Amino acid sequence: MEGTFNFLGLTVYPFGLFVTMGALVMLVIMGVLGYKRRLPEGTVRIFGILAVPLGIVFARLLYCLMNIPLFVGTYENPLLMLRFYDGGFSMAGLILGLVLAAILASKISKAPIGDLFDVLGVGICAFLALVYFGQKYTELGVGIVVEENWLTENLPFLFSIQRMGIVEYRMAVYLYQAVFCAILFVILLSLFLNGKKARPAGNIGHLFFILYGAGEILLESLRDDGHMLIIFLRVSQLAALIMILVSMIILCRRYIRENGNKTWVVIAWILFVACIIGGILLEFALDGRLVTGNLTKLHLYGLMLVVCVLVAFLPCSFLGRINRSVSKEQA
Amino acid sequence: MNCLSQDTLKALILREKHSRKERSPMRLNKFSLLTAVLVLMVLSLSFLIPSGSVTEDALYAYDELMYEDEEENFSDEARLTPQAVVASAAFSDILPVTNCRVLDLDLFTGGSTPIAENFAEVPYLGQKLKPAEISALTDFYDTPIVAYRDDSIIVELVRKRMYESDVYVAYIRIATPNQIRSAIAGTKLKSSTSRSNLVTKLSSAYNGIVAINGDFYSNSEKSGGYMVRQGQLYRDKFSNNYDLLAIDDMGDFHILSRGKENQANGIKAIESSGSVVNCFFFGPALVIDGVRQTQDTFEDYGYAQHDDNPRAAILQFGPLTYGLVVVNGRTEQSTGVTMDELAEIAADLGAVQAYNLDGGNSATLAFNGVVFNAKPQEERDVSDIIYFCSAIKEE
Repeated sequence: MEGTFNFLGLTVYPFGLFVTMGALVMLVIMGVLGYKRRLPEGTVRIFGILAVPLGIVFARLLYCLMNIPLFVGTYENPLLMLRFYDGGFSMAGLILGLVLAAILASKISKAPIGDLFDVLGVGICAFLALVYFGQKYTELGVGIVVEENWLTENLPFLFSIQRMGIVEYRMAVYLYQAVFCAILFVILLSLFLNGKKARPAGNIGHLFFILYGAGEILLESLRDDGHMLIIFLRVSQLAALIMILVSMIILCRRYIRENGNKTWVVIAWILFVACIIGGILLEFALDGRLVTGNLTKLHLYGLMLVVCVLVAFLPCSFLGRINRSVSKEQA
Repeated sequence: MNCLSQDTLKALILREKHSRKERSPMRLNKFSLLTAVLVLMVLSLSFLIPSGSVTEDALYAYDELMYEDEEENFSDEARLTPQAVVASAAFSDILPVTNCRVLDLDLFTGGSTPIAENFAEVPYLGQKLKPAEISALTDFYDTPIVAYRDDSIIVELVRKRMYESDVYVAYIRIATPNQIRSAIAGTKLKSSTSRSNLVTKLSSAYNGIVAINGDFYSNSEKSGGYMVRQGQLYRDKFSNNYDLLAIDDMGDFHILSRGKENQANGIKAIESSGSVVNCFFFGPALVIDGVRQTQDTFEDYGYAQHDDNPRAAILQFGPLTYGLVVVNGRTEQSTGVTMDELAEIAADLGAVQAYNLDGGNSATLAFNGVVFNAKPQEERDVSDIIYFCSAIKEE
């Protein structure tokens, strides 16, 4: 494998190195932010100790569930699923593992779960940025083919160039995802540190799930590496949708409790469902299963972007009222 | 709610800060231990997490494990290889094999650059016509035209109307067996991640003159299956559920019906006198040794065989003489065909061997880098193609 080297007789993988760096950065950031939020001492350490095994277990579990035909059918050896050190992990499973670790850590250390999720929401962005960048050293994160154009000539680093027989310019989706997570980190960190505005605990965590989820739905659609597919939909897209949906439900309940506008709640949900249906139809169209008339793939991706922005906006629309109520209470 | 004075608040905060600083040695040891364990766990990730997908080395190791465990119980009785029969083809020009070269078998090497001037104009090629427009064109369904020829290859194209569907047929005669080739999207055959690309793009990239989508080899739903691409073995596993199409080094088709022993013996028989250059895993077989397969033979095969769908098939008529068939579907103009109807089409065309390939949205017949079976749906990305190319000597 490209980029591997030996250290004390063990093989070090470049992707593993980026995961390690990401985890360390995440824990340091969480430690600092946890101190600011006055989390009980040791909370982040307990979270870290739980997060490593739970992250690996759930990432591997989800990967194996989606690839049962490979292990049971092709190789007829289900025990191969235990060989996690051969590779094969799911990002959605990893995030699920981290969330579970946070829930358990909050119970063990008696830390408020909302505060811990806020801290996690910021830290996890830095972690994901490094992990996605590390995919450069694997076969993953490579996207659809693009024609040679001005961008491929002048900004070749935005593309993964494959030269074997034919030259293919493919979108380096791993890079876009890394940059997206880095931007999200900056946004959430500045919101976290903005002490002037009071926010209920957990809002930054929700923002992470909403914004990351919306971005993932679009970016995963650009991928073309056959990883974790359900026919032509990606597991990551479904997981992203679930993240947004859960946040939408929780924020909606809070909004209603704060005497929010019930008409807007109904409208928001109708629009949300319409966006999901629209997104699914767009995926069908991108896969060539629907007649699209004169719409090109560029148009379809543009529409997908609009859908993702709307899907992110709707749950965020509840945040304004919730934040105002908290400010009033604290005043 | 009790309001605390600012002074009281400050005092509380200071007390909390001091209490954090005052730690007992036991507490310090506990947290140091936790931190050390955590750091070690995180550092171990560098060794434990090679990639988000199973690595190539691991896949080869799994293959070897599989071969160790498999018991070779297959009998030595060889299956008879099908005889190549000179069937009545749609054209009978004899190619002068004087100006040809032998193409390299390598998966990532294409054919010779075709001669641009030798491409004939194909009416309505690539045009997505509306149903009313097609109905108005009296010359849309026409007699075959010689769309391309040089000293090493002749390609004829024709559109037909059968079973209320548009049927697109390419007849191909080649001079050397290496001119029938497969290609994959991406740059690695053995990988747990796959790539996809358009049939037209892949065909153009490898100088394909005419191409059809393959068997979507990377489709993980089809676990198992003996697969070879340009002489490279992708997977060594026979199937009780799917037929195989093996193409040998003479360019002859061998359709091996489902059944592990049957397929194993068939491959052995081919390899006893030659080699398997390409082997596809989809099916069902539509015509075997001139015998049209009936509904009974592929009753429980799958692939929505009873429904009208877009379909794709590859045919052999005789030595180095082939056909590609694509049927458009899922529109008012062209509803598609059932598997039984596809078998009938193949038999009507005179196929000696015929094999169903991936249908549905994947069914694409490309000529000179353009979709011949223009359909209202967008062209779909596929993982592999079968293409025919020129082998003329390049200056």
